[in-house]
Amino acid sequence: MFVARSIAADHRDLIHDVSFDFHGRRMATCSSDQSVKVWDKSENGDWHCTASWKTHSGSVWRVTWAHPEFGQVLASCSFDRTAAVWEEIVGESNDKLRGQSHWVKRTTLVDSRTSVTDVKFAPKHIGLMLATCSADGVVRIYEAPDVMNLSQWSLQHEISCKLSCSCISWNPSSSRAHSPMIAVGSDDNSPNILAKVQIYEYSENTRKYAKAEALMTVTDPVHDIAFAPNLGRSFHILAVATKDVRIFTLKPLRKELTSSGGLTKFEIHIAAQFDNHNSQVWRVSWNITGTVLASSGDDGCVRLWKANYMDNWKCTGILKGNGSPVNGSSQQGIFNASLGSANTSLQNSLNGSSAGRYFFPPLDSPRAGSRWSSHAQLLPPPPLIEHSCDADTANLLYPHPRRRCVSRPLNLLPENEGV
Amino acid sequence: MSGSKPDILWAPHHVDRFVVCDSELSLYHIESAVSSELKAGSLRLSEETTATLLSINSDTPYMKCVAWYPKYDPECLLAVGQANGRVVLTSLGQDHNSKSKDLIGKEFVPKHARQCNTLAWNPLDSNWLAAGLDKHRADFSVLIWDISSKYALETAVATEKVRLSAGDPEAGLVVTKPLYELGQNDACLSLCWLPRDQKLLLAGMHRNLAIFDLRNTSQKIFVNTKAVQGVTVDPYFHDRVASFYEGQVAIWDLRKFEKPVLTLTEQPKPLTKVAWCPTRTGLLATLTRDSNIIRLYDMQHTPTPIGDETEPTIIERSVQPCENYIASFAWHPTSQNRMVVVTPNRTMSDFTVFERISLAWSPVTSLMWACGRHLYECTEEGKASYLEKDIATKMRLRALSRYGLDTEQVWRNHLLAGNEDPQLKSLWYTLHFMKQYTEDMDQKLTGNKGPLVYAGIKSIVKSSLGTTENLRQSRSGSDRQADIIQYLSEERSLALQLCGWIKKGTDLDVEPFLSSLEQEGDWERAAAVALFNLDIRRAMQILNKGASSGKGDLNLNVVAMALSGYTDEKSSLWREMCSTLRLQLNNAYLCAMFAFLTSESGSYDGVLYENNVAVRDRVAFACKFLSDAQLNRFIEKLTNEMKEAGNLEGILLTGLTKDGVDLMESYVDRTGDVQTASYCMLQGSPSDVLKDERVQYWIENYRNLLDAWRFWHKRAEFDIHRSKLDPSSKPLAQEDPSLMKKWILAKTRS
Repeated sequence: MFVARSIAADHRDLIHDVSFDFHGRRMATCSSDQSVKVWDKSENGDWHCTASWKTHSGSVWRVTWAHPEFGQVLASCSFDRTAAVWEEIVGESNDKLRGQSHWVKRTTLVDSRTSVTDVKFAPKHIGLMLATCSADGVVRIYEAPDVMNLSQWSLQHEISCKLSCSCISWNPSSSRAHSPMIAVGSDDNSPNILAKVQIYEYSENTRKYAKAEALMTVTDPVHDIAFAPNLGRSFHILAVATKDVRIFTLKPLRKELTSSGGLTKFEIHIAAQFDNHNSQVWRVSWNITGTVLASSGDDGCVRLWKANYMDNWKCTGILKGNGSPVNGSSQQGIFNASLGSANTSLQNSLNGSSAGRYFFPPLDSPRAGSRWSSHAQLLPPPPLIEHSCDADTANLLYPHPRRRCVSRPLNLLPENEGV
Repeated sequence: MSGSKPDILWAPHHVDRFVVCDSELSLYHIESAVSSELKAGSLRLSEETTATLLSINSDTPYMKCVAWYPKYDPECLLAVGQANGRVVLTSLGQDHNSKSKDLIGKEFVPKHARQCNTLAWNPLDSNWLAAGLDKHRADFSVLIWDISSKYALETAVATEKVRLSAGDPEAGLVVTKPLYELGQNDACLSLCWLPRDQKLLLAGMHRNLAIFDLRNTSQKIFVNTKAVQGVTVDPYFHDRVASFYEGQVAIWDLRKFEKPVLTLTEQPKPLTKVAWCPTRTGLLATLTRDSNIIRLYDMQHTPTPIGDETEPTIIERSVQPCENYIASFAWHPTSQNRMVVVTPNRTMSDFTVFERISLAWSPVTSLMWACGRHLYECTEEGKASYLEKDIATKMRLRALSRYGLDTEQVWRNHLLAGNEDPQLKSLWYTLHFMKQYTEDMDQKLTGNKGPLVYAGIKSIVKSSLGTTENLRQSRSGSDRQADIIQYLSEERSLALQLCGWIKKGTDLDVEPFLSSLEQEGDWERAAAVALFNLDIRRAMQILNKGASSGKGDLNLNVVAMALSGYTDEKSSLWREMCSTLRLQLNNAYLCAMFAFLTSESGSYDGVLYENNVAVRDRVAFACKFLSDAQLNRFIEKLTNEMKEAGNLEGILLTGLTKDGVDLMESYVDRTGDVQTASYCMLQGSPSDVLKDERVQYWIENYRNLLDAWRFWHKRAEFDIHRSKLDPSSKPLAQEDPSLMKKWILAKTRS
């Protein structure tokens, strides 16, 4: 069972992105208030903001960490048409005393003519590389040839996607059998039937990225896209946030079967497609093993998806955006793993041919989008969340100091391994 | 609000009150009520809130529009615009201080009667109330009244007044002289005061938007447009204004008023309301007729100064607050992103629009998300059963319990893994038996089967071709009639050892195995194994024992009884009954027992393809009773099945060969369990499988996981373990030298 607690974020405007470092001990957030904040996890599991600084002259859309081998390095991108690389400086004694760390800008990438909508570091085995995408439909891949010098980045590739880009995701696979690959999503909403997800692969022969695939079935605006951690699988899993949650598997066909161009051909299957968010899906994120997907949507809920041993994906948890459980369900717990629940009901199978049947736990009322649709059968909410958490009334008038609402002491997993 | 459609207004200062107006005004009090019980007379608005009706005012008929007095006091003063153009001040009778007493009942009457379309209180000079009227010849359509002005006692009006409001005790309170008259020869559909100057009034006129400056009423700024309804100023950017026409919303920048800066996509149905969210920048809500959806336009950044041609990023969203059509909605003045909607039949619901949530998983299975300006961390709590846990959690816990590192009692690794997964149990027992046998061979230094052991039963069986002896025996154990052919060879007995039926050495005694099964209470399996070893008496004895044991199943006695009736006679009634009724047995082993007893010699499909019988038992059975050709075919088929399914029980057949890697590949594809894959492949004696790219890739991925979890000691242990079994493995991945340099630099700097 999952339990949520709120953390005083102290951003002055909407938070657009949250990102963990490789170990999950540090976190970065970015916001419309043009700042980035860095958070460190203390021994008792609390998060402390250790740095907060203005990064851009517009809303900051995304923030992302480089692998720690390259140092403590962040990249951010913004509406101000730039992306920037930041490095933490050690040994600033004044800041240290206050428990604050110091971050300096190492470079500003100014090639885009429009808002830079996403930024992602490449998997570390490719080197210190950074991809950005922008509203004018260009994906740019930069490389720092000298990992010691983060102020020098050269623009290695410019991929024109023809459609306004909203999100990118590197394929994390480090297998030698898989070439570097990047998926691009577009939020173009003009009424056309162009594929809104394109996959580009690096070809050793031409030393260029070329389009390997386009997911023709995705024609609605795409808001987020994420390759699952590969974890030794022989295929890739790609989650797409569009008007619904979709999970694709891409199985590389054996090289000898692929055409002469040197690009990998894939056998693409849609493994799952869920419209439980009832509307647009905004974000998707995989856990470390690529076995649980979290999604957020316009219904204001966070949902968890997991495949059973038969490769049937289903919803295993749901929580409202303010951390409170979704009521009106027969389940007391939220995010309650309900594998093999006895009273599963069969809902519409959206893509029967390849994806099989979908089983939903009963907590997925078919009217999940309208939150108050069922007053009659309301159950008392489980006593998990203090109600002050969402009592944000008059927040604007009376900004209160940092406040955290912990509903219950947390059982932390033992992680006192090593240093 | 025309007709019966209700509208809704929040009190500007008393944030727990709102008014619903249709033919009358109803004041509600909203309060949080968490418990599922409703107080008498209150209405449920959401899971957390209820509303109580405080008062109803039906004094003012023909209401066309209502506006709430913007100051804190008097509290419940409202201006009502009527169908005849009059504006009446009324109250919902909460407090009657002197100020409100003077005002309540006051009427403001235009020269010519026509519909009053809109009202707007000046936010600063709250005595000023602007009213927008329909056109009447060349008359003015925008009238600004001063509510504090004394009534004008022009006789003509006074008499008319008496006629119109006969019976009104306060008949003197009629004002007919407006402070300002604007918009001559025109109609006014919507109005709002501009916050940048209290003397500026924006009006949606018949065919244009006009800004009147009260300091100089002879002039106005205007722009021709059809979008003249519902003018409203963005509370966060005072130069940004929205207005609408049919299904289209126009966004204007007052600094460049010539044309809309933006036109939002046309809706199929006409719009009825457009409102900026007062608690959040750049969020505009719109509602169309006959719809249960509120559409939101999220304009995600500050409007840029003039000259910058970039379009704002707009995200379109829609929310569905209730099932019914929505008549109207109103944003809560202070509560973030909250609104109350009302349906035509006056049911209401309290609703909060969530911000776009961004989220991220941490490597240690907690989920962080940001909703609006808030962060939420979600962690897994409580004891989920091992089976329900995600593989990420399982691998973490197993890494902590030193799973995979027991190289002496290899079988114990399945206990370290949580002792819940039968496939893992089978895998580690297989690897244990393989190891035992290899050690045995090493000690004796005889035979050449050593390397063969890790190649699995499939290879062992292949190598046994032609060395098999036959042995005829009766099923009942008596030597009355030899109708069963058993096959024996050195390889087959090796296979039986790997299956766990017999111990090392060549005597084919299954007794130790049977007793261990009895100890575990696995009666059916023990009985089946006894029977397959042609000891029907022992099988019956086991069943009896099972029936009489603590929580034994008495039915086992019945099974024993049925067994005792066994006859070799091919056409006996017993045989007939058993072969039909056995399919109804729930236990696969019992089912297999009767399948065996009723089968023709040499065709044992009922046993071999009983999928619920453990692979190792089926294989052992096949090794005893199938001829070389049959056995090969069966093993081949079963191996492919196991490979396809990624079933770890199949490692018994494939061993740690390329076949085994194939099998493990589909296991990893299915589960993501690189931990088991890595440790399993590292079990064999130095072998080719470790050179397989896939195996190296699993190992790399597992080490990466340990790194991400900061299990440095575990990773070191794993590397030591690996270098022992795979001397070819490179001395541990030293990081890039340049990075080492960097690290050293960083250290010295600090």
